[in-house]
Amino acid sequence: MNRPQNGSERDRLLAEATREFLKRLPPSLAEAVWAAAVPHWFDGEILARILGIPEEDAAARYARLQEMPFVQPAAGRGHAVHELTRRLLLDDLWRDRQEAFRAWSRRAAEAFESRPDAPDFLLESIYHWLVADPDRGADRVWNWGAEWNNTFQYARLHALVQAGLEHEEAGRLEGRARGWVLFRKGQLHILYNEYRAAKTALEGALESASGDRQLEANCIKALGDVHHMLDEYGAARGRYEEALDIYREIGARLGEANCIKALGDVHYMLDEYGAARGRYEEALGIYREIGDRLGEANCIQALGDVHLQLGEYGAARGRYEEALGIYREISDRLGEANCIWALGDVHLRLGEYGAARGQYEEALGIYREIGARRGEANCIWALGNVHLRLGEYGAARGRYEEALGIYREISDRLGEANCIKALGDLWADQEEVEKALAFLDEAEARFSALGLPAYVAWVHNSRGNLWHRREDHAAAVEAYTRAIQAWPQEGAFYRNRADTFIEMGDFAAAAADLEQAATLAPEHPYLALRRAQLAFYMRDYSSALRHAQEALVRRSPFAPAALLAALAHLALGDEGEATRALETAIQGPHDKEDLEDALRWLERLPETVPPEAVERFRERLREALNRFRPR
Amino acid sequence: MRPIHIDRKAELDLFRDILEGRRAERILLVEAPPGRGKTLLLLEYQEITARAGMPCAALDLRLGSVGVSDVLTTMAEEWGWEQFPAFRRAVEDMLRPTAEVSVSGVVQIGRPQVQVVLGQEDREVRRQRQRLLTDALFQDLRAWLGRTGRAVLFVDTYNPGTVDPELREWLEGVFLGQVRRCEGLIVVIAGQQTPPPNVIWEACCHRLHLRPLDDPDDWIEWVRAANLAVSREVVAAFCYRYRGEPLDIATSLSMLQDWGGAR
Repeated sequence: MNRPQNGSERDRLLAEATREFLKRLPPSLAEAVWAAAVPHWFDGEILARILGIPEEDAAARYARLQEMPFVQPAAGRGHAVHELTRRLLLDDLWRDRQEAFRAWSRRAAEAFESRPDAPDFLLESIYHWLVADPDRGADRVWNWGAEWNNTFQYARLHALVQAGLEHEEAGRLEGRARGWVLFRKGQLHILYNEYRAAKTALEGALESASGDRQLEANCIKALGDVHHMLDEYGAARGRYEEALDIYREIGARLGEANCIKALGDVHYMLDEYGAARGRYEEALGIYREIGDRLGEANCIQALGDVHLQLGEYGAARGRYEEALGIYREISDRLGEANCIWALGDVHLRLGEYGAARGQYEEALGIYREIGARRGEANCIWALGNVHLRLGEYGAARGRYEEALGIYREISDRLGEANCIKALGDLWADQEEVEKALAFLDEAEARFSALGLPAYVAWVHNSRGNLWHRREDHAAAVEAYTRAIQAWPQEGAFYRNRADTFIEMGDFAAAAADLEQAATLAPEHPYLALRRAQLAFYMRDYSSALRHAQEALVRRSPFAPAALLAALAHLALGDEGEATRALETAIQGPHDKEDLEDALRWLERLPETVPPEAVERFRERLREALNRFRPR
Repeated sequence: MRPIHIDRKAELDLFRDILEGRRAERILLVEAPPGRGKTLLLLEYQEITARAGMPCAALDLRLGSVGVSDVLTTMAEEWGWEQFPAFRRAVEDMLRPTAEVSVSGVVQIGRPQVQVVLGQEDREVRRQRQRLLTDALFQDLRAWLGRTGRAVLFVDTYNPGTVDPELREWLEGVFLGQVRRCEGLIVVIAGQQTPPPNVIWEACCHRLHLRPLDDPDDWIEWVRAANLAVSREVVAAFCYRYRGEPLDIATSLSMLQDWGGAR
């Protein structure tokens, strides 16, 4: 008993004093001290159960224990051995009398289990099972952890983890008992956005899985979630695939569906919409099979997102409405609001600004009602986007600033940075270059501080767009190049730089960028559009028309592709078809930039096109553009 | 239990002054390393409060799972749910499945209901609900304390490393901010590391760092009560060896007592 405890001089001195004190007690009373140290609190009844003695004997010992300097009252629950003394006693007990420790823990577990309705007693019982019967303890951490996680009782989950960690840090846990405690710890870290700590805990849990395939799969899936949150999509995909195999092997259908859905999310983030759709549909089938309505609604909504990205607006709307019905049926107000917001996005993409505004306002009402501040801010931001599209710059700025205030209030630093970037884009749209650059610089600094290179890259891209629009091609190329350096896996930056190269007449550089973009996102509609544009500038109008039509197959309606197709028809001498295509584009959803691009392309038409036809097209485009006058 | 803090007269006087309104501060933060006597001091404070006939409620964050809902409901349970109509209404409103349905009178509001309305998946929704329920509870508290005077809430074992992070965030921000605006409420929080300074409530807060008891005179009354025949020099030696840490000194001095065992 001479080993210094836990390293500190004070621990060593107190341990010595406590040991000497125990030597001076009658053996039965000393035994009562050891036993009383096992639970976090005790009374006569609990002491009787742990020691396995009659209650009258326990009452006498309980009375003597209360005279001891390290025993203190525990609010409404009898007494407790002081936490410091208790730790030192348990260290000795574990080292010298592990069997007694386990036997007393078993009795304590049974004693506290007799009141399963009281959460604190239940937690105390799980704490003891972890040592008394590690397998049973592990099962309880698994089941109760799932219950409290699924019902969002995070204070309980936290207490469960703390109880387990007390044993773990003292070296009293091993195997799957240690694994489940560390897994739950990792889950909590994810909940609080502490991804590095989550990774460490989950890797520790995985090492201790000891053949528990469910635990193994859960850890690997959670590690995938951590990678996903850190934008490490390749690593996330690898983890999800690994976990999926295990869930399939053990027949855990929910875990299987969750992994497939998560794989869909990875594909979605990587713009692999076809693959994402396949995964979502596969997961949806399983959720339906096992009757998981929330999983079903989430998958349907995700399918809506895929359709939206592919420009399949009708299908997107259908999916969102279907998901909305389920969310309403299961009274998931947040899911309901998210779907209504997404329906607003569909209208926005279709240029139906009034309808978009209506949906955003409806979603905003629900977010406010349920107190979802982030959703509220997101909706206000989206309303700002509606104003921006309508050229209502003052109103847009007001909305962005309002959203910014909420993001600040809830300490959402990412939301804040996004708003600042949106304000930068807004000033850029108004050709207020200095203001735009100031906001973009601020946004870049914030994204950098958050360690988000992909977001930093999008700021460079915004600067590129600004310079491209001002026809400062060298500055635009430089900005897009910086975007590519910051986040080389994003195809949009190559496509945008190609756009500038085309305007500069550097067709070889543009073609090289489009090749690179094709390796990253081969099916992206803008890739086909830029190919069409390159061919158009190179006076290969047949190829231009073919690529524009390919873009329209990939996304429809798609105003810039329709406009380019119209000009290609005109160049090829088919004025009738050109006029029809032009009207289709103008009647359909489009924005200011689409019309400005078309006016620029118009100047590249061959001299063979009759000047009056060119003038007619120019007038029609300008007329459409007038609707976007700044307000 | 033999009180280790027997000679903490200054600390007891400080609390009496706060309780009786002789000091403006109403948030008392007691900070000390383990074994210094925080819990025993809080128990003594509770006795003083009870003797003064003032209502009090106590929470020990070490024991079991304590979250925001537990702090709110402990006050309501200890001081009577009938004192908290706005709080109950706020819980009822949050329990409504839709705006058109009322659960008033249908559901008895208690600890499980508060837990349900605060058990939300989205962190922002939880935060907002915590804020709304806290506002409602303090609205009731102000009305109740306007009639009855003062009440005290004791929170023990506030150790940031082990406390639920959401509870910590709420307690250090929303809750103590409300305490500042609630004239009759006194809050005592004890822990190894108490909440850091906060511009909202710091002005009405007193920070008490419990000193070690390294003067043998601190121990004379305790030694007498324990019936120990030891000289002042012996006590002084123990105080020196254990650097004034009360738990350590009391444990070692207790060896000298006859417990009926071997010597």
